[in-house]
Amino acid sequence: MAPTHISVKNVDNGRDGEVFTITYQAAMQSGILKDLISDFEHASFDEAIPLMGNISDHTLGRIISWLTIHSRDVARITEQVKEFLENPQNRQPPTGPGMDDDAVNKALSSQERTLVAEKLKTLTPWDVQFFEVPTDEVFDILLAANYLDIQRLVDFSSQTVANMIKGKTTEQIRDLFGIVNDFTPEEEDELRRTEGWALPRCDWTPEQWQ
Amino acid sequence: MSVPVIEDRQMAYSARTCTLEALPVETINEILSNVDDDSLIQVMRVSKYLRKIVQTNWADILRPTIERDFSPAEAFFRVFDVCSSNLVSAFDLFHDGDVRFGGQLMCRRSSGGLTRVLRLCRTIKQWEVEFQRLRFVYHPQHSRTLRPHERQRLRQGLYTWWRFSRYFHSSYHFEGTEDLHRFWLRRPESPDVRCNFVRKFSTTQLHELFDMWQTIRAAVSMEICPSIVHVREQSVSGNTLSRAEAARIGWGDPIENDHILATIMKLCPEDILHLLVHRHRYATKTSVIQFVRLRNPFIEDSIEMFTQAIEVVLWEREKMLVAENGDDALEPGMYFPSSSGFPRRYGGIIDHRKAATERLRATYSHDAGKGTHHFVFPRAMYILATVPVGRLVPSS
Repeated sequence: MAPTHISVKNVDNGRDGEVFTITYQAAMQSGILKDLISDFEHASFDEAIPLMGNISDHTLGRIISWLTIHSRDVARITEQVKEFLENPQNRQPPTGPGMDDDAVNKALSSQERTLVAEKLKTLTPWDVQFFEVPTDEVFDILLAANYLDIQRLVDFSSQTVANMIKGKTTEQIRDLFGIVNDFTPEEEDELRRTEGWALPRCDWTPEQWQ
Repeated sequence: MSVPVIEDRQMAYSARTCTLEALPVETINEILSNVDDDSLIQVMRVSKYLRKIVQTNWADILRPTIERDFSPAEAFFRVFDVCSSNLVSAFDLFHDGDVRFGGQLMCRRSSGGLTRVLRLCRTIKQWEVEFQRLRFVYHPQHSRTLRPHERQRLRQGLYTWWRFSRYFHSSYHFEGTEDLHRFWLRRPESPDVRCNFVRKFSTTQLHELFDMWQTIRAAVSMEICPSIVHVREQSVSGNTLSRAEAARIGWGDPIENDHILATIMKLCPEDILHLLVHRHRYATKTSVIQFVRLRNPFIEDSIEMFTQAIEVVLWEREKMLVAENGDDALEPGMYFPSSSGFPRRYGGIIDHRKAATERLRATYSHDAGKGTHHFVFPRAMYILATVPVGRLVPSS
């Protein structure tokens, strides 16, 4: 029988770290935890499951708080969408006279799936606040989520990093992530010449303005 | 007891540092797929490593962007003659092999798929901005930004126009196959090939397409090649221009001007946009003509056939409806408007004012490809249509 709560012992670079407790439902969002739980199924769940991810206690703590907050999302959002679609005005495409019941149901369920998928991908205000941390911490969360196989958290942290990139110039992106420019001046000239159309106007050379 | 650990993920995590480049490639792809096309261009200039990643995995990276910002994605890829919605296979197609359409060579593929996709994204975005200005030019009191679904209609129209112009109006894609191009245009069944292309769209889509086309046509005739009559009408009252003076500015008398307009409209959407936006850079008529000829050396072979193809197919659809349902099928005066009506305040790409009319979009959106009432070009019309005389230089 599935337990209600799981204890996870963090192992960071061979050292035993903190022990975290997490609900079964929340843990199921992570592919690795799911595999671990199924591996430990025959043992009693009294002992904490070791997690050898080399994740720092701080990051794992944050991820577990994220998992706990989002553990009921799928059920909650599906319910919301169903409620939303009960109003015929919200249905797309509008159900016409020529359509039979099967077609209407099919269109509805596909719209429901799309809406749920869309809502699951949208950052909530809570998530925005969750990611208001230094850049390297966001990367830590991203990598840990990638290791723990939590697709939604990977999506969310990727979106956060992408939002940092959006609207920035090349130079600003280099500053933000500490990347060294390894193009030689000749190569940069070449890029400017061949891909000039892609540059914002302020970067145009005098020849391109001609 | 063994603990299931995915080796490379763990290694990736152990080797962590805080720069973007240190992330595993799959994660960088994930991040970049959330970035819009403009920022992606910036990212490609950050470092060689990131540039390489974008160049290698652009098919995966750009797909979500295109589905999000440039829907309908299927139509987007069709601009490159890619029929599958699977971009990975599309990626292979970009690089080699020619495109055949009805057994005829339509265009040669070139390398540089990424550049072409990014360039298309850039142009579509610019069109979205520019089109808002052009659409309400006769009704400034109604002008507003386009709603998201209206933008989608516009994009669908642009993609279709682009394909049509590549198949039937272009010549520079036929490098080394000029004769084939001329042959294609003069084939006896040519007008019908164009109509068949248009028949693949539903009546609703055709109305949107026609609205977009007429809007742009009107803009080109106003801003790029106004007729002499138009120039004289527009001149400030009390300071009327003589005909000779107007002839220096304008592009021929109305009939001649129609031909010139129909020739210029053969340019691809990107070039038309360039002319509309950068008209001020072309001070004289000669410079405009020079630009047009440079972009398409064979443009004076013929006039555009898009207007005619859409009109013929819309006419067919009307006949079809009447044959099926009797005269009652047509909503009084609304859904099959005269072709001279656009750009109007409502309809086409823009939402209709009344909800009842708006619902007709759904009603007429299922008749794509149905052809019970095909219009066959009579011999006389075929000659008119296929002895095409394009014209760029006004005679007076």
